Amino acid sequence: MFEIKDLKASIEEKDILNGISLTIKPGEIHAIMGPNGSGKSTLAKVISGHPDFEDPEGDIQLDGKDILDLEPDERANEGVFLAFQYPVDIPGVNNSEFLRMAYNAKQKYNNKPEIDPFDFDAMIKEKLNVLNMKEAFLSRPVNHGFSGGEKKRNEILQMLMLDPRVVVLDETDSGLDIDSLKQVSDAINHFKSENKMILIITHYQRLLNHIVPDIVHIMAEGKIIKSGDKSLALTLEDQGYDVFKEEKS
Amino acid sequence: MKLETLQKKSKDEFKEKGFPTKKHENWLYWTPDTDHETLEKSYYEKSDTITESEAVVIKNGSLQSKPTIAGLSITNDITQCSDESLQFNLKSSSLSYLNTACSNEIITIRCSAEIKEPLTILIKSDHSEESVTVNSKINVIVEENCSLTTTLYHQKQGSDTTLTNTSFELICKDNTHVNVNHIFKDNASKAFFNAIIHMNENSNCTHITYVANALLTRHDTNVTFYKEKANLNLKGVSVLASEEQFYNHLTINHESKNCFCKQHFKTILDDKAIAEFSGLVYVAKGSHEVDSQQMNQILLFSDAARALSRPQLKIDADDVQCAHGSTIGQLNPEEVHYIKSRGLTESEAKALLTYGFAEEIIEEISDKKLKAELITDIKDVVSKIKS
Repeated sequence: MFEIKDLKASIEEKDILNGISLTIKPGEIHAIMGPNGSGKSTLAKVISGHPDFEDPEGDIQLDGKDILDLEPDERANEGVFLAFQYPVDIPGVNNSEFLRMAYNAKQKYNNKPEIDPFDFDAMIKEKLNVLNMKEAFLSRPVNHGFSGGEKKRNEILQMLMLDPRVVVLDETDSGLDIDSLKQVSDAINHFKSENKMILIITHYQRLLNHIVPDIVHIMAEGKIIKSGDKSLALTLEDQGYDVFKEEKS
Repeated sequence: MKLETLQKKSKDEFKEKGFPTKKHENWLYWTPDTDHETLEKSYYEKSDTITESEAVVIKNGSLQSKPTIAGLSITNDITQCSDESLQFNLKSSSLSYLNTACSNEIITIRCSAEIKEPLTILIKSDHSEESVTVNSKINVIVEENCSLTTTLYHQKQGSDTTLTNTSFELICKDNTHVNVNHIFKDNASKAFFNAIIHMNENSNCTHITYVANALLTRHDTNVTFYKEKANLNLKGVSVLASEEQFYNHLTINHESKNCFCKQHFKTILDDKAIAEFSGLVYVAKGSHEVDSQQMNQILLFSDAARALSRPQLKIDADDVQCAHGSTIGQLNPEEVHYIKSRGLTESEAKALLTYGFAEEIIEEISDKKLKAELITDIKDVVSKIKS
């Protein structure tokens, strides 16, 4: 179970998150939608342990363990994964090497031996197939010179390799063309299982046509103002955010 | 058979065969494509000891030994080094004159063929007595239509108070391909290095310097483009910590039209290290269609480290493309966070990004053995950065 309880965060004395609470049960997919500046990406950053938000208040728990005080690498190794809205370039380090380092960091954290290179090679090729990506992708520097769509697919490749318990997808659909959106969605659906918890942050219904959420939350001014089933996203697309903001006030 | 002999034989056979590919029947279903780097590392680690019998050895300024390679003439006979292009002294550095005045001999390496195997030159200083200056003077002349790849290891043994004052002159004649690497590392004394590079018609040269674990290093480099269509890549990486200092002075003279020169230097600074860069690109009157790009980038890990950067342009010609720039900064916290969010610790993330910063230059090294050696070295050096 992944639980966020009354989470508050600010930056430069400006409150961004004003008490977010949500619970994702194993096997569930939640979606968060909201206007620009509502705090969606801040929520993703705070979950990942971004240093801009030093002392967030509240709780974030994974299977009952408080992770809010953990370093980002410890959170990752506990099973939290953020697919970044703007993935960062790492010139000079090829994808395969980076993934192997990340994979082995998790192994080490869990007191397990490093993966055998042959097993790793077989595993990564299997994941590439899920995303319909070419092997040449592995020898390229991480995200360096990648198109926007390639970066997003690379995030999903990392997700498949690291096999986290909780995944936060921060606007993974932005920058994807129709075919890439379908491939990425298929990979996320492939990843979905009864012990995974997925939180999708998006502006658009189109991603949710491919990845059907169990619960949709609407976020405004740093709070969740309404939650409902998948039909809420359709209503939102039809009516916009103002109706819900007025309803809340 | 000695193990050394067996390994040399196997090394040559491996070089001949290369890595397995899917074209080989036995490797049809899996090839170690993504493991080349790791496998190569082991190969080069095994062979990273420089075999002096295969190298030009210059000890305390005198030619000590040399290999016999077809197409290469290596001599300390001054009558053999005469070439009208040679200038012997770097006008901007009086230490260059001191070098010529005090050198035991002038060592000339003349390349008159396409030399495929990289040539190693060991420039050693080894004095046990205190406060000695070792003057070494090396001229490399690459004749028309010839090619050469060479790595010069500037090594110091003996007393830490020994100074080295080395002059290096490179003449790239018409239609040449030249790769030169200078390695300055693990040097606990002061090293002065004067370089003069001559570029002629359609000559192509990549000149890379690597400075690490060196107490104080001063480089003065002067490049002149005499004829058209010459292309020079002048690059360098330096990693400085503690109270190490590196002063890098560069002058590029474009005296001919239609030439290309890219200068790219990267420096990593920690502790109380100091780096100075001064680069001047001069385009003479009438040298049209010159493309000269200068960039100096510095990565700072400590508030106490100092970086001074002066990229300069002086252009007396029309129709040129010239740019110069300098960046001084720290690692981007967003990038550090990204790597940490994948499970790597802060120090691992910083080491990875720092290596990535330097890799752009190391990647340019065509000598695979040297490249692998420097990748290992730089990973080791950056992993020790404390900040």
